[in-house]
Amino acid sequence: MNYAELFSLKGKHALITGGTGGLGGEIARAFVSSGAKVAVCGNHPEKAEPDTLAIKCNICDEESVNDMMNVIANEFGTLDILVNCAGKNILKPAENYDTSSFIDVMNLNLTALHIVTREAGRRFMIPHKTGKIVSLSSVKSIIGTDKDYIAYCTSKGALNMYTKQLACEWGKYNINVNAIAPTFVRTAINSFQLDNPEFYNSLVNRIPLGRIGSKQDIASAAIFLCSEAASFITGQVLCVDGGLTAKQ
Amino acid sequence: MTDMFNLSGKVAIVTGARTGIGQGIAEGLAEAGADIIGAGHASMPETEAYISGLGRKFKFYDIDLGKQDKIQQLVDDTIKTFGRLDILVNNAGIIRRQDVLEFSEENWDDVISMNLKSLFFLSQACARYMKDNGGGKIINIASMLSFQGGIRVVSYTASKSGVMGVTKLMANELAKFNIQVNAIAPGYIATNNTAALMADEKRSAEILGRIPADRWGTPQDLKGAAVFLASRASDYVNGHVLAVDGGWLAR
Repeated sequence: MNYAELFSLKGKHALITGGTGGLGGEIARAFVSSGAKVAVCGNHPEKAEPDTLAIKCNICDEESVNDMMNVIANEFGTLDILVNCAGKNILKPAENYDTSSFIDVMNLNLTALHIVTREAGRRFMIPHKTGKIVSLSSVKSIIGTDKDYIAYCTSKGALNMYTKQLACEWGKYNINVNAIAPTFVRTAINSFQLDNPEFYNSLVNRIPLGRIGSKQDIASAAIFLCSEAASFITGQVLCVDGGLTAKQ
Repeated sequence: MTDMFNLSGKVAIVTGARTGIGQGIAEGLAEAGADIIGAGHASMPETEAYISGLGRKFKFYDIDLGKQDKIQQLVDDTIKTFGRLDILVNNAGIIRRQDVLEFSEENWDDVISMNLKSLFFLSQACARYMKDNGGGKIINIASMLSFQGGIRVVSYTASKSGVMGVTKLMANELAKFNIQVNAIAPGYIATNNTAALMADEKRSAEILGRIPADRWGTPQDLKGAAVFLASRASDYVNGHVLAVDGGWLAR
């Protein structure tokens, strides 16, 4: 197999949650240009990349996820790749982190991710004995930060273990389950932090490569992990962080 | 997007490229467009034939990596021959088995010298060139025993744990020169080194029963990770140890 085929997604069918904006949107664009047929769900269907199938779905709701899988069954017939990008963050100090905010973050970052993943596996990947699942974790799944991140860090740490456990359970179905742990990549939800020069400089000074991540950095890692090039890689959390966690 | 993974015009040194994992990686890098120097103590006819067949250049470089005396010459000669150096894959390694209470100094020194000392000094020699030439990629071959203890292989475990630490340190220090340093930790891979293990029915069954992917890896399985870490697709990946193990470490 030549290298271009090894990294190609030609003929593959992918679903990207949170795929209508930010990182998910970039991954959707990259997957389309790598030859995949891509479905996306997210908060901004009007911003969906051209040539993607935008599906309305509340992924916290079982019935809504079920409907989305029906659309995929009808439009694609199958699903080879799932990228879990949907996620949220609420910033509050731990001592004031109210229960409903905590549940809110866990619900989207973990429970909804499980619902979508379970249904993708149950309906398409397990019966066809093939699949690639990649979830967006964070360097904050590995290293803590000085304030406000108690729910987000906890959810991403749990996601890493979810990734490992699912890799163990679904390896026999030829399904690879991995995660990507980026550091900051500028998106709509974090620009308010990155626009603070003090915050930005202290962040970049800690990153050996001296810059924050780009959306393309994350998209190329996602292509790699969803391609045949990564067929013996499973249960891994790939840090795409400029060396941040290695330095810590 | 596949352009991101293209290595056309790049030159790579791959140590221990005669068989197994090193051969698979050298062939994978060549498939992606790189020219290859295969460094080791015995010629590499299969690797050479395959890479030449792709229309890429291959040169065997005769060197005993149990010692460090020819390392600078290897780098100098690579640049003289191919005009540049972009990628180093530190794959060459040895293993010695002995109970920890009996473990000999020779079995300690030989393994550490090749697996850790030569890996570092070859990386250093390459990085000095890369620093002045726009950067580069260093890929070290780590092991499951970078993470786990193993048994009867104390110098190997020490060397591979060391490889993980050296990878992270070099990633930190060399980042400012646009040199990314990462490692691949292969799981159980079917090679001539593991043929005896695979032939042992009981051990082989035990191992297979613990691999979530339900199969042994092959040298082909390492190609993707190597090309990714050698290409600009991984320009923001630095200091990472990527296991290619069918899920062994997740369990």
